[in-house]
Amino acid sequence: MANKDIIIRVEKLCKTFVTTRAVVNATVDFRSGEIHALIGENGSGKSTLTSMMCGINKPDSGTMFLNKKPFIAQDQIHANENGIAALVQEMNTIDHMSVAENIFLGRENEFIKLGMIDKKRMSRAASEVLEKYGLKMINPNTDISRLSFEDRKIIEIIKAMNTDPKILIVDETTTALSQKGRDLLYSIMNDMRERGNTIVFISHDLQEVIEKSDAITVMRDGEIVDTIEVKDKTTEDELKMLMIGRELSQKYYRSDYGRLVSDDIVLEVKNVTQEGVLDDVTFELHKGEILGIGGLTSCGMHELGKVLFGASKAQKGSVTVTHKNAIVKNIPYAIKNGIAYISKNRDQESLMLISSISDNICLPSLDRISGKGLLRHKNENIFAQAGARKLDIKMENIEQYVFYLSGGNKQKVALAKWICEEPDIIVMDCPTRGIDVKVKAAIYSMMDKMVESGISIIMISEEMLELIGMCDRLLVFNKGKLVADMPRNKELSEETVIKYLI
Amino acid sequence: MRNKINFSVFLPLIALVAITGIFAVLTKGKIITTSNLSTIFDQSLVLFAASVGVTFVMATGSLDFSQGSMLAICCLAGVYTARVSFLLAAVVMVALGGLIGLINGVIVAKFKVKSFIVTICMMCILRGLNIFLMTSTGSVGAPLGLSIMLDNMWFKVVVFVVVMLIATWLFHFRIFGRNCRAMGAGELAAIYSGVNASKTRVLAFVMAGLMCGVASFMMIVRTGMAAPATGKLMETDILASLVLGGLPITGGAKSKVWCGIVGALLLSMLSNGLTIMGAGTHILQLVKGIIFLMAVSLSIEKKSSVVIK
Repeated sequence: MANKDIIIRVEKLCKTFVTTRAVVNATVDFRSGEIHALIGENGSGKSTLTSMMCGINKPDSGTMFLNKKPFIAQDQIHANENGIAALVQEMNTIDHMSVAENIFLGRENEFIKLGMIDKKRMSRAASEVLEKYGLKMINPNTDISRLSFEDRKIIEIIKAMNTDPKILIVDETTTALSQKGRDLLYSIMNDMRERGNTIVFISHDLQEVIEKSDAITVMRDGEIVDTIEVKDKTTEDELKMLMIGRELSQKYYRSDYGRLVSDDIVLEVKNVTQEGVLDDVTFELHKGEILGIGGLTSCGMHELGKVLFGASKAQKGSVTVTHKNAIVKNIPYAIKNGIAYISKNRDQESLMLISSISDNICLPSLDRISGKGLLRHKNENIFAQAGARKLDIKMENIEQYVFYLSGGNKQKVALAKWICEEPDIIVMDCPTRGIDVKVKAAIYSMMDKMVESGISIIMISEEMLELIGMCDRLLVFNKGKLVADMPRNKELSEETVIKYLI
Repeated sequence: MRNKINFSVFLPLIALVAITGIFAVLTKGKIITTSNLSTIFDQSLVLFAASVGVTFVMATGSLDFSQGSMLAICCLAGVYTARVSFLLAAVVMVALGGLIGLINGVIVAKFKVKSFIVTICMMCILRGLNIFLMTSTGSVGAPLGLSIMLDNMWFKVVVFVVVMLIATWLFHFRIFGRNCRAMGAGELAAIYSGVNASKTRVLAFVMAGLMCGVASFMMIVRTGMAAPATGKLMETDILASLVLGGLPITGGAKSKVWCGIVGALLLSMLSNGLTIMGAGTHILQLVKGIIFLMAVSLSIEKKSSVVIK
């Protein structure tokens, strides 16, 4: 591999945000014709490094060499012109514009006829592009907001490819995609590699990283730890070790089997039906149990989580908190009766980003903090501090805005907020989504502690391994129907569960 | 951050001191005479009371443009009822303000119409109604006794302190205030934390209405009458004073009651200073407009997507 040309080299790149050193002295060579993965925990500087390569941020010091010539991207357009394109984590399409308009955004000039944009020609060109990627079923004239999340992401990929980049940065795009979308992305990546181009690939899915990449660069706390060639049979554990800087001494998933779960029922879900989403769902949750709910994203399990919390209404059926005999009807009532909910949509539904950690943790517990008297800022901070300590949130202080925290720490704030509220039942929707191994392990051990103290957990997840590893009982959903109910079992394999999903 | 002083918090105060200093020099000290300072306090009181009420609305991320017309209607109701009893006038004005606020709030919260649309419509409706009710009478005077009895420093200081205390208590020491701020900081997250969004928003608008009632009482005490043009452009003065006082236009975590106090003083100081220097009302509007624009563009939190609900 060393014989391949270095296409882009970053040398001693540094970037500091207000107080945190995001990237420190990073030097990496990216070669032509390779898929080069960039891995590391949340906040290790991967996205910052690539954002400098594609012109979103400017480095404080250090240089880059593009084809051996010094190069600093001034902005994204400048980077694009030099053959660098990026797929970012966030959604980047523009609502209420057609698919064709989105694909050719910024290139409308190519379709000007008599001073106006020739929409017919643009739409024809778009169909050709779509067809090339086997996406004939997407009509180029549809409003893009009517496409699914995944299809919009795919349009974004196509848009990036349409500029014929020499270097493509893929920043955690696969988490948003199903197998179908992933396969398309992989084939695009492979195709680019064949043509001697370079892909910089950021992903948290280590298995995927090992399978797809030629070289892997590991980052930790803003520094480059190592670059390894995948040919030397790398294992996930080795990578994890490099990412964390020490061996995973603590257990990851639970290791116990045959734990007795209490017979007490705390929550009864009866005949819950939502047209086209949930079909006559009935189950019970026991005290101190971790109940897993698994399935494909579209199987209705995320909606079910909202129904349990009163955030979404079921047309038929009921959710009852057993010992209080309370039928959940709205969010305040659900909270009052001991239910908490951690949303999959962390940045909108779980957290107020432009608000302090303290404000976020205290919000559901203000009643308790004020008691009958005045609500004092000092008492709020004391309350929040205790929660932050329980979860070991990495922060400057309790009044720091959540916006500035890394993904894993944000999730810890969301968790702390509900643990401090002291619920009896906690519904977690994808609690470890897009989060690094260290925070994952912390969340798992927190879950262990919670059930020991008698809290019951419903864990909704798309990752079968985590469900198998953590749950006392696993419910599998398929097209809105509950299709399997399996107790914790050493023999239970991912394959067995997947059979039910499809 | 513990040891770092966040200067942006003190910026409005620094601006207040700076403007006072500049005008003190420009007017050769005329602006800081005791009698003029009490005039400024007097002028700012109406603005201050209304601004404090709107603080609750703006904290939730909404706006209230109906304040000026609301003030006019409350004043009109006040000058008539004051003929019966001053106390009755005060009660009626505050209640009427609260009622209009309730209507605003219910339309915004229940029918999901953006607040600036609802309140701009309300502004037109109330202004129209105010002018219509005065077609035959023209300006209506309040009983002379009202100004004689209450147009004095003691009464005004008491009103100022009481309004301050109530607003600070509700906004900074009660859950209601926290909920208002939480809605501005992230409405969905607030709802998912158990905040009753509709109730909070309706109450915020009611609060703005009640305070507008208080402001209008102070208005008829000072001017002794209700006119077709009473309170005209007051809504922009309120917004400008709040933003100048450091309240983010999108509300949220940084909202504070004292933004209204500092802002109202700042704006009154500015008007007063310019007037002393011989500027006419048109120049005054122009300057206020420019300053408002500058304050908003400088203060907008670039990280948050700016959405006015």
